[in-house]
Amino acid sequence: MDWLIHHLALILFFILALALFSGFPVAFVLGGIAIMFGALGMLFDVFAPVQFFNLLPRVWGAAASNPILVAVPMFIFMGTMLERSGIADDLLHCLQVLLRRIPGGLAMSVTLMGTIMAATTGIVGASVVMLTMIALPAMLERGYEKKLAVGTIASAGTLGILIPPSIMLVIMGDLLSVSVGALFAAAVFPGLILAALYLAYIGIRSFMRPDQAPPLPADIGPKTQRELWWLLAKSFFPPVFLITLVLGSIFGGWATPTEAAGVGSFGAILLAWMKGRLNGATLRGVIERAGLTNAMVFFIFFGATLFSFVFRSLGGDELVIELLAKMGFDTGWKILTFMLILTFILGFFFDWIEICLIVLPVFAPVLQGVDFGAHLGDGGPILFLTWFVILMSVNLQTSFLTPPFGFTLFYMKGTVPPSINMMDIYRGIIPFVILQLIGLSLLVAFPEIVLWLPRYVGFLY
Amino acid sequence: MEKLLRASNAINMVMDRIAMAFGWLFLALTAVIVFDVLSRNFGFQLPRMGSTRLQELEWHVHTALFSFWLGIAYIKNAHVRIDVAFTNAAPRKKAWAELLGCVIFALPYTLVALYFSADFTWIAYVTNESSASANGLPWRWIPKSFITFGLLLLLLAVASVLVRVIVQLFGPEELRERAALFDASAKMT
Repeated sequence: MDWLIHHLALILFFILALALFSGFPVAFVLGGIAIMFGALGMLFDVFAPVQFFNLLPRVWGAAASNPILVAVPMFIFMGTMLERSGIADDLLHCLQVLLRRIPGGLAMSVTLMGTIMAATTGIVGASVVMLTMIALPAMLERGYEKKLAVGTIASAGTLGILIPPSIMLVIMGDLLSVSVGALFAAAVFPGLILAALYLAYIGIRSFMRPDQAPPLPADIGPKTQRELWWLLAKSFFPPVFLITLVLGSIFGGWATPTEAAGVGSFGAILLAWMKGRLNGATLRGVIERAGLTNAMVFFIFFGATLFSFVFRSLGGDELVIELLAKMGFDTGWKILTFMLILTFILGFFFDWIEICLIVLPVFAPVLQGVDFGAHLGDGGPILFLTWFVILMSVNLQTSFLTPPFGFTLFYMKGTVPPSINMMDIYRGIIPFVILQLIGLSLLVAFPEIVLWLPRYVGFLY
Repeated sequence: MEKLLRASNAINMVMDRIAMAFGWLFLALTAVIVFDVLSRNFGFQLPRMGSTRLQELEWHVHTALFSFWLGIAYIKNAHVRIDVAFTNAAPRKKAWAELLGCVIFALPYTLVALYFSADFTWIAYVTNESSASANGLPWRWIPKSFITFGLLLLLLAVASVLVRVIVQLFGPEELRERAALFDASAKMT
């Protein structure tokens, strides 16, 4: 019995893991189980009844009265608005024109577009749906090999969650008390390196098997120089405008991420208006999408806050530290490896949001104590946390691609033509998952890729 | 049964209206932030509406924005599920799973949270709690009540889904189809 009570937090964790697979909304399961175990803890005298009164203040402090998180609804709104604004179609067309002579040019323009769109939105769904709808038909029509086409789109779409602005970085920064500005800066080069890896892979594969990635006809696009310049200006202005507005103001130190998000959503509205897409119906559509997504994120926040409060009250923190030590995970490297592998495995079944909100609070106390001075240089725990969040992010970004529960794969399944089946999608993303792992290893081996920019713009020392 | 189903339809419609009405707060939030950034950089401010107040207003609006959408998000099935086991299950099996989920997780959770949230709001009201900062906004019970109202709407949403599931499982044949769960997946992160 004593053993049971001592390990109540652990049992809580396992029951949660089981219950999540019931297919009932995660947010309800988290909250429901938290309440159940609170009551159970009361029965065993390890959870004071008065602690129930702390539940709401916890949620209030974590999700509501938290100025940092105001960035989340704003980035969601901005991304959804951009998706409907039609700027993506122009951009893809322009990139195709520019890359028409290169083997695999169409696939590369998809990757480049995913990268650029990622720097204007903080969410994944929008980019994947957008890319699937406008780029996939074009690629299939040109005779691209199906798996290559699908893999390219899925990977390019998921960059949205890694490359700043990103709601995932906002939430992780908030959970681990790292400045969101620093995380945004830290994620820039890792995102670009992944994009470069994708491009290199597409280039090599198209060069070796030109039949899988036929070039575009040379005569697409404008005939005269003037028209070409106009096309360039017209399609690059909107994203450059938004990137400058949002990332420029954060890295320049003029605006907090929350302010940049607000200004960015104003910018997105402006762009939609300039494209003539802004009307009542669009606006209502955007509000509905953004409102539902936002409620989904914060309801998980709600449940996860209750869950980690109960977990902690039942002595979960000490238990995790104790167990990790017992299992021999006592040095920084071992803990890091453990966390990354755990996240990768969880990523097959869960999304970034559950992993962030459930796993991070559980392991936060262990992480705060990790010393990585030898690998990262002097700068205290904040260097480790920044680096760690980025490694986790790349890992979580990969989770969008890993079957059976990659979010991206689901979005695609909903949008692809019937000639492509789930197996094509699964097999198409394998090379890109390997590229993700290569990228991740690079970041582990060379932390400067992560830490250089935030140091340079003055967020870290 | 017919009446129950109609009540559920009514709840869904009203919730949709409420959520959409509060959805315009996305624009309000954008406006407040843009105004705050501009006014701070150009050094003007509205009387009694300085930057501290504006920033508090931002998260007040944010609180309303997610609270009032919690319920409709359940009705429109936008809350994330890990549906490995049930993706290809028969509709009846899914309905049973939903019924159990509502009874085991959703109802107790929503009721407990609602009770403590109401208490939390009430305390803020009777103690006339205001911002901890001297230049902040008064009436902290207002944003706190958003959460309480949001949870109330959520409870209604759970009730509405529960009704549909019950009709689907035990109702007369001709109503079952009409009760089928709303299934417009709107996952979007």
